[in-house]
Amino acid sequence: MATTHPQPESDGIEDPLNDFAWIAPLLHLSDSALPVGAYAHSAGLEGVVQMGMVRDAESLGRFLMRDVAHSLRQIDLPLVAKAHAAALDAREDELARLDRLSWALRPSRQIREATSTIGRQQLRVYGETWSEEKLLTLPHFQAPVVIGMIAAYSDIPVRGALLSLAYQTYSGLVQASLKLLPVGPQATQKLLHEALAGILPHLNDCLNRSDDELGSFNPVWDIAASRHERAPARMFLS
Amino acid sequence: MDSSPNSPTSRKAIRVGIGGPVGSGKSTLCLKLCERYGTTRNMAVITNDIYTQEDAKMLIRHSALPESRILGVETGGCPHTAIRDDISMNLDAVEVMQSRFDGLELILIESGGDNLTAVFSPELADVFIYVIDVTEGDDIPRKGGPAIATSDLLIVNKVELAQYVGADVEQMKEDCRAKRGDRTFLMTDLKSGIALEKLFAWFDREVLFTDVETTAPI
Repeated sequence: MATTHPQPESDGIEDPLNDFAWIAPLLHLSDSALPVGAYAHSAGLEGVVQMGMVRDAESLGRFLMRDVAHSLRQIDLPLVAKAHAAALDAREDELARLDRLSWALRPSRQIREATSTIGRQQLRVYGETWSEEKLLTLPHFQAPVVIGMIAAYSDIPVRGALLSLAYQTYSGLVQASLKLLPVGPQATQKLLHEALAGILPHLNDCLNRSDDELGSFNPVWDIAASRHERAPARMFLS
Repeated sequence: MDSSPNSPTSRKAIRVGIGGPVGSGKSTLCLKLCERYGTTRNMAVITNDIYTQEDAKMLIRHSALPESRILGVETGGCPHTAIRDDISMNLDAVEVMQSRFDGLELILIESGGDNLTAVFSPELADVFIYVIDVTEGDDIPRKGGPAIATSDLLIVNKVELAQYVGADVEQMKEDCRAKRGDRTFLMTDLKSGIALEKLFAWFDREVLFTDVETTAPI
């Protein structure tokens, strides 16, 4: 698939900007203003808040740095890396397989569907904004697979794609926390900074995980997400 | 349903966005429009709620339309975002309804209750009706804002309650004229039926274009 984002004009002079053209689509893809409906999801945070597991900035930080980081390292980031590689090689069957695997790795229906809803919208925005070619249809449009694909098509290096998903995940959670918890924007920015710094040393580990290594075990989070589905009142879809 | 992001969009139904603060009468307006047009027009309703799907359930309870024609969207505490800044969830709901009902003519999209700054994205709604009511304070039209000034129709609802809350209806009319110029506004009481026929006449003319509809072959 052709990359359609513009390249800086070359005047024959070595311009370091030429090496960083991929940053433009990376910023665009990672922007929390991207219209993909992320604001309506808390990725299970509202569920763990309702259960009392997360109550304040301290417990939110623990949730981000322990539970969310583990899920990113064990499921989402390796899937982004695998999808990135498959998209570069135009292995469409592999992308579909990864999409089904991503769907199967999430025990909570809400989280599965939220991941698909956001991924489908990301691919739609990409298709209507960056790419004029017909895009691959996936079984579920799981966001990690979609992000890996878009990054590969946009010449974004794989580690950039991993960071984009990590940023989107953490950023969405801290935005949701402002509505759910007695925490302020300065405290959540600090947590966002710490969470991203915490995931950086693990990016390389996520590049070559085998399928057998994928998956996480976090029954409290899963149960909270499942209970949330039947909560009498809730602010978020997931 | 074809869920492909690049799936072709079929013939578009007219989308009417209905916005306004909490409790102003948006759901009642939807109900009245469904009662009026539900049997003669191929229509559906999408409701946006902050916390739950209460507005959708209210329309279902009142049998406003068959249940399959009413779809609730939960907006994560950001009703203004869902109709203006990031309309993806509502566009999804529109797609669902257009796939579900062939030849859909009309979709009402009810916003979750919001403040006076909320407006519908032109990429989501073709027509924008804004509903306020006299009990929220008779200075609301004077405060203005994009919805008060530029909506296609402004409804000032619950005029029968004005005497009980000390609202000056005549002053509200003056302020509406000052803010809206030639744009239409109606002083209504949707529950008791005040100005309902005027509302339907406006809807026929400005939304459904019944004055230019023809059955003659083209």
